[in-house]
Amino acid sequence: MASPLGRVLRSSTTIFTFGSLDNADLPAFGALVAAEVGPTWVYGLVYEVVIQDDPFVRQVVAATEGLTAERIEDMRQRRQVPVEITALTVAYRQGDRVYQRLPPRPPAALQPIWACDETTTAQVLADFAFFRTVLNAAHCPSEELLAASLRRAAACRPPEQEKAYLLEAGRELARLLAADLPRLDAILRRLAP
Amino acid sequence: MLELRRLLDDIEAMSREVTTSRQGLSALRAYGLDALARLAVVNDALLDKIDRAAAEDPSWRGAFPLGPRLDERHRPQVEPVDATLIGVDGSQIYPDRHGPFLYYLINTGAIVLRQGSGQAPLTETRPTLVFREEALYNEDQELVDNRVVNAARELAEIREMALQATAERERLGGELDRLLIVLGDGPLLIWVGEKDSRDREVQRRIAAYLAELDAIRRVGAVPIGYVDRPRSANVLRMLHVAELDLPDIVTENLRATRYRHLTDRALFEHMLGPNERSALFTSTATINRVDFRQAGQEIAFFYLNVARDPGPDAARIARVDVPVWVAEQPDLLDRVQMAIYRDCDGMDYPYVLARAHELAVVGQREREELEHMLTVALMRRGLVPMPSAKATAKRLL
Repeated sequence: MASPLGRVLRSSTTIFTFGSLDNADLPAFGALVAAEVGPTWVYGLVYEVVIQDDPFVRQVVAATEGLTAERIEDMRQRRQVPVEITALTVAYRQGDRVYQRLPPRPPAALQPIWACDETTTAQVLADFAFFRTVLNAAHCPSEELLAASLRRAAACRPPEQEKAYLLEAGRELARLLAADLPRLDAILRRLAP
Repeated sequence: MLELRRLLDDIEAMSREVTTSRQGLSALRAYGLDALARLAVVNDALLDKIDRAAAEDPSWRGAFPLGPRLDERHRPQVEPVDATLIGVDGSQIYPDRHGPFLYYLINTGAIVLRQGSGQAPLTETRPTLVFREEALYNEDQELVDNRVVNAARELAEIREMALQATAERERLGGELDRLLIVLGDGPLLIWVGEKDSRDREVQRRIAAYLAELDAIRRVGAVPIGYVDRPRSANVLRMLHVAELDLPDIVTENLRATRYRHLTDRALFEHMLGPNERSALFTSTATINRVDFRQAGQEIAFFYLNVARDPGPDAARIARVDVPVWVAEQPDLLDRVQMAIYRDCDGMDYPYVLARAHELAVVGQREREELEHMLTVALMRRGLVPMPSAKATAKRLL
């Protein structure tokens, strides 16, 4: 966790949206991010990145002749229209223990949001209780998100454990989605390397 | 509530009048262009007439040519070089006697754009909250009016221009080769009524303004006042005077100009091609000829077509104010013009000024947030600020 990705714009028990002015270092879809809420850390999976426009940026885009590198960087880094990134809350940590369930409280406005390193990602997503949280989230592309987060979580483990982790995840998915084979198939196809 | 149907006749009448007026202005413009060609050579007789007009009526604002011809058109032939452009703008919240508290606010926005660097520009805003009673009331214990706030904003803007120019030159390690241009939105010459110009407070204001212009010059930066869509008619007033005989230059005749309602811009839209500038002039305003000149900061101006496409319909004329010490260096002026023209690419307006405005502007929502914060701060101290009954009633509508 080197520097914050941005700060919370709004949050609820299930999701939090943060703003970032740094277009160059946006978190990837499915990446795990974290916010400190009192004695706990709240973890979420990035599922939506929205780059807003406004009349000024439209004018600059339309005027392709004057689109210099300085103007592009100005628009990306300095304009007061932050990139909005939304994460689905999947877990929290209290002390050394990680709970894959909704946290007691969501992050407060302007709280810094941090990217999670490989060790944290591997720890937080070690169990599969968060699958149900993702699969039940109607407002996000849950199959895509689950597959992306699992691929990332697997890559954060030692190489010899990657395959075992994905196999275990696949078994859990098969159990959860036994009655919904098309959905299971969609996720498993997206898990393929 | 505006009952639009009750304005239908007026709208019709207005459109008729605007059309007729345009036709009249078109004939006037043709006359003006002809006069500019006929009277193009600048001679002592013309300069005497201008001086006589300025002496006869100090409120007369004419153009005093700095070059040999009035109809000069110039497109720089120099290769464009990367410059650093600093744009500065300001905005304000005026004091509102119906509001919950008395204050005014000045906010300046600045952007430093280094052409050719590929870097994101530097940006900065600087808000100033004015709330002390001695600043809110004049000597007669009346609440200061908008002119006082405008003057404070004008001073804040030139201070920001000087501050940013100095900081950028320091960032360059004092290296003077890099062209540094500081643009403000609006005239570089501050407006002071003739009656007020000797007032002590006004003199203090002028001195403070001139000190900032000096600071900009000391760091080798070029201050620019950029006026988009100018409404000025200094050149036309000069043309009117040029056609008068010297003894006829009296106040009454000065005001009876044939070019009423026509602007210089209308002339130059038909004269200047893309990236062409007009001849250079100075304003005959007393403040320019006395205060600014004595300080070595007399302001000159030229008109510039910042459009990319040729033709009067496509022309985008701006008035560009520069100190005479810049106007006297043709090479420098060419490089400045090239840099401004380049910054207008894609917008027909300097990008740095568009961004400075965006940084400076205080929206209604921000104003409400500020007043909410002030309310909370006062409530913590046991005070409950209330707007007037009128303001409260208006907010309910």
